[in-house]
Amino acid sequence: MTGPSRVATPLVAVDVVAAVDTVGGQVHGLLDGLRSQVASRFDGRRRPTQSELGIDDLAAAMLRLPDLPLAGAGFVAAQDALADVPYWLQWWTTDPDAAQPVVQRLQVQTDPAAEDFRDYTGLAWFTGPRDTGEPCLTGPYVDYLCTDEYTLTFTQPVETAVGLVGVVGADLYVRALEARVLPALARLDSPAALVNATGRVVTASGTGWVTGDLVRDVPVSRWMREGTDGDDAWELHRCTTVPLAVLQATPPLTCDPDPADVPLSGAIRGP
Amino acid sequence: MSPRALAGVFSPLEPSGRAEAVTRRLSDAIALGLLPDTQQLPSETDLADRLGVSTVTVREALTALREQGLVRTRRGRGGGSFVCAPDDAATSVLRARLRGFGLGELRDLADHYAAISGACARLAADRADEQDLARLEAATERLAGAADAGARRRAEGQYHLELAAGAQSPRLTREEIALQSAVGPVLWLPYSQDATMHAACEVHRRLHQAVAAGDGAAARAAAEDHVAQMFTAVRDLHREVSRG
Repeated sequence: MTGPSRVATPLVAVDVVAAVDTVGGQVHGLLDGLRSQVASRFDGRRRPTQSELGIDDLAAAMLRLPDLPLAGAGFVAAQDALADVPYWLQWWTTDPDAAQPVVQRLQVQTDPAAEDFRDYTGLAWFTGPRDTGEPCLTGPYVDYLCTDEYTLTFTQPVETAVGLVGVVGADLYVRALEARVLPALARLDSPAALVNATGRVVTASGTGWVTGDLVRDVPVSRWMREGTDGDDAWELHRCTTVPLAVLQATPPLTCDPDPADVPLSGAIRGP
Repeated sequence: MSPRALAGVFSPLEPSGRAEAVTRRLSDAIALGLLPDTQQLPSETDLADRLGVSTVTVREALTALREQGLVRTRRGRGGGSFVCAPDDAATSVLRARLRGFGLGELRDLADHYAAISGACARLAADRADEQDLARLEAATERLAGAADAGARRRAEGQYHLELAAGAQSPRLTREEIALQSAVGPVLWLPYSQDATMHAACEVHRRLHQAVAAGDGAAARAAAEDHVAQMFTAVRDLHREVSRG
């Protein structure tokens, strides 16, 4: 199955995987810091109040990093984890695309008796880390509760001596991740897509799929779960810091691959 | 409800008929539950600033809201204007709002709504994964289990947001939020009738089947039927409230 042209391709796919892993590593690194800060407030003697969380500066600083355009970050409390309120989101947002981004605290209804209260403890970005005890990635999804944008949400469980007290998390707009990986993806010599564990497309180059599509004719979720690297038509290159993968069409077995021969991607690139 | 929707409540107004526009903006927000019972409104000067109108206009609007029993004003220390929205107030506000619509205007809104919902349903059939589908089904079960009219309207609003989110489209989702703020709760007034609500749930379930089967045409048809059904029910109600 390996020909002369196949050798170079995985190396380039590795570039895409590396670009994604860098972003995933950065976000989870920041969340590690936020998580230990929150955890340190729960010493087992007394539950802290929302004003004693003391993560304001750190969360706001996460949104002002020049090389990582996060749209939101903070801590979301498990029910009754805090002493003074049953539900709480200590969450900051910004518009990373604005000329002069403003970091502000998200105002959400946290009074369970109120008409517009929405119990967030049933949402995927909360249940994921709670039920698995592992860092999670939710999305791409339309976050209509907070950003109204196509978003990826990174969350980590905050485990303490008194058990799970909530999750720390960060929002990254899908278009921000696209901007990081699309150049490397477009350099591949066969069509490829960055997909999540359910086969949802984050971004793609030269394929019929676009951002938001669900890959149905390749069993991505089974390959992700069971560790298959692909078949004759498609190869799967997994990322390590996040549950995303590069799905790449098995390149044509020509000795001198010419981008113009590749359907679609050649057409998109033009003359 | 999204903070963005709430921000819309206090964004600047168009110049014509300003006092009525302020009155309508605030009464809609109360009907939608964006401004809950007993919530204090911003001060007259603050409201005037944020809505981009004069304090005289704000005062005129607050007087109208007081007359409708939607706002109560207390003088002195700790005073101000407070929202007054007992459970059925929302329904009576919406009925008054429905009376204010011309039949052609209502038809036009329903057409717009059918276009958005139909497009969302078709795209969701292509793009929704199992979790998206599960959230749609859960929203329908919430609607079927909701006891009072307000809870039914909220459940239906949530359902249509989930449908737009299942289409993976932020723009259609924002369009859905804007349409819901403009007309959604009025279209869902007839859901106070059990039969109308159950009929809506049936069409929802037909829509889920089409989404699960990846049948975009059937999903779109179900969504359009759903809006047509809502429109028929609300047209009958329009005739009823117009009789006075």
